[in-house]
Amino acid sequence: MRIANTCVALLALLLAGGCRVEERMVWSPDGSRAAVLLPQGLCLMDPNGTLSSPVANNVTAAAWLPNGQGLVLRREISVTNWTDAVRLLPPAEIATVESLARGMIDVMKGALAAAGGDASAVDEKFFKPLHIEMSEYLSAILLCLRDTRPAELRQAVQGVRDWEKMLSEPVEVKANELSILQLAGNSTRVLERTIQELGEAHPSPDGRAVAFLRRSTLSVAPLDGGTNRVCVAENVVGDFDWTPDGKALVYAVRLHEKWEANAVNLVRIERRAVEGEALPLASASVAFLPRVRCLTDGRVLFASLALQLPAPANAAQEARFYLVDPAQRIETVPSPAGALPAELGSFALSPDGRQVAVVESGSDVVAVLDLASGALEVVSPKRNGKCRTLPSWRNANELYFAALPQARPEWLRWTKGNAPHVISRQWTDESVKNLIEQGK
Amino acid sequence: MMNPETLQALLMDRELGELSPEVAELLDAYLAANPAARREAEAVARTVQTTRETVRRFPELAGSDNRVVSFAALFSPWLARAAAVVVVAGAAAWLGYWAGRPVAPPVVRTEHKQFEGLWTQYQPAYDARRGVTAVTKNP
Repeated sequence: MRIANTCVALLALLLAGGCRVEERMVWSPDGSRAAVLLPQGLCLMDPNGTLSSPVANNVTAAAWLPNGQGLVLRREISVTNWTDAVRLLPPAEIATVESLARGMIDVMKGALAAAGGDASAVDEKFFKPLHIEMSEYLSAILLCLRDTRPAELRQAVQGVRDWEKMLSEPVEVKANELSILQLAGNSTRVLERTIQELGEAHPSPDGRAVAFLRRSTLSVAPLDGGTNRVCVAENVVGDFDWTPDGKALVYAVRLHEKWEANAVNLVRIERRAVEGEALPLASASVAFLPRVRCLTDGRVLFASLALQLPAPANAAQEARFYLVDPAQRIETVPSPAGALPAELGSFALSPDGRQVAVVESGSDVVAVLDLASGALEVVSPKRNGKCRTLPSWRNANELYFAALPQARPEWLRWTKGNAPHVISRQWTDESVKNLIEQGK
Repeated sequence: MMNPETLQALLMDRELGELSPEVAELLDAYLAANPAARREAEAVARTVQTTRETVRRFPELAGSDNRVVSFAALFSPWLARAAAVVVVAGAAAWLGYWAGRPVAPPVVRTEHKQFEGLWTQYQPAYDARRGVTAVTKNP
């Protein structure tokens, strides 16, 4: 089991993205309240920082419905026995797990034989030479074996040192869920549930559909409970957006076989009507997960390294914002050299599309860029932290962001020309501790 | 320290009213901190002033009713002659400016310092093991 546990731990590390900047606050369309992700659950907040009791648990992301009466939630539900997994997960995935579990006993025997009975050497001597990669199904397969075929599992690992202890270790399966929470009546309806990773989810501007990422597939599902799904694009990376008319999506597609973390990747920015042809808009090179946003006038905002080829192999490149229109005309958003971080994937576009709040995971600087003039205002200077929280615009002029004004992280409210004001002073330490990673 | 070509270009643009207020403000801050650059600025200002006076005194050189030299008009043949007169009179710095003027406005250099150290610096380097151009934080 240690083999499997190692694999699961590695997978969890990959998926958790420990140093990512997370979207923890989302304002309702009318700006009257925000949904805030806290350790105790998803809470609602008024503009002064007053929190409600939790309205949902296990939430990892939230997006408001256009009418402001509900939210599309992404949740992560842990199960530790196969009976619960069968109850939660779709029948097709359960069938896949049970089918794979039948073959896994022999795979484990073979792997242990190849590694001379040393569980710690299985990865090096079996999986790597065979180019077998980890799968999200692995923990579910182990849970299924432990609870439905315990004798076979016991026999497969009997020769391994401490095998009894290994078998007694808990196995956890994460079911990822997309659901709608209607705030009036606090009712929830599940749209999608899967073992596979669920990424960003955005309701359409007319509130009739939701676009979401399942692994790297961008799909659209109706919000009326229908089970039909439209696949819009494959190999999508980062965050995407709807066009203001709700007829198309804009997104980034990786051009490499797989996404390389902490490396330069090439992507193509595309626009596609939900049931139309994809329209390539631009190519970009990024060293961060790309974020694509559509302005009210239809132009698409994205960031890219300002790469010019050929270039010296190790030449440092600056990242810039670009705007591209449907006719593929690209304009560079003016900004002075050095004004923007090289890691330009964590930004929040103001509702009027005129300003962008920028942060990076390597520091806790917060800056606001005016897209028309390129003027940059540093809203919060560098202190001794690393940003883990995306700023959030309440309206075109009011920004909420995380910073380290004193000993602990806080949420602050900023409007142009005024000093930022702490709004989370009354919150518990637990509620704010993850907003900024503090220096050691 | 700004290189001489960049400084000359910026000073000339300012004298001819071609700099944005933000860049002009940055340039003023730079001049205030650098006496040598300030002397250079005074020389350029004198040169441009001499050119203006020359064109005012000999308007036929410009071939136009416009008595004030504009940036674009300086490229016309008549005004090139006027400029040459001034250069012969001793404004060699101006020639140096035109000869060494970079193609793109070198505004970037002055503004760079304003944001120096603001964000985390990363260094790309080819990672042969992964077969990718990896990006690592500068120490």
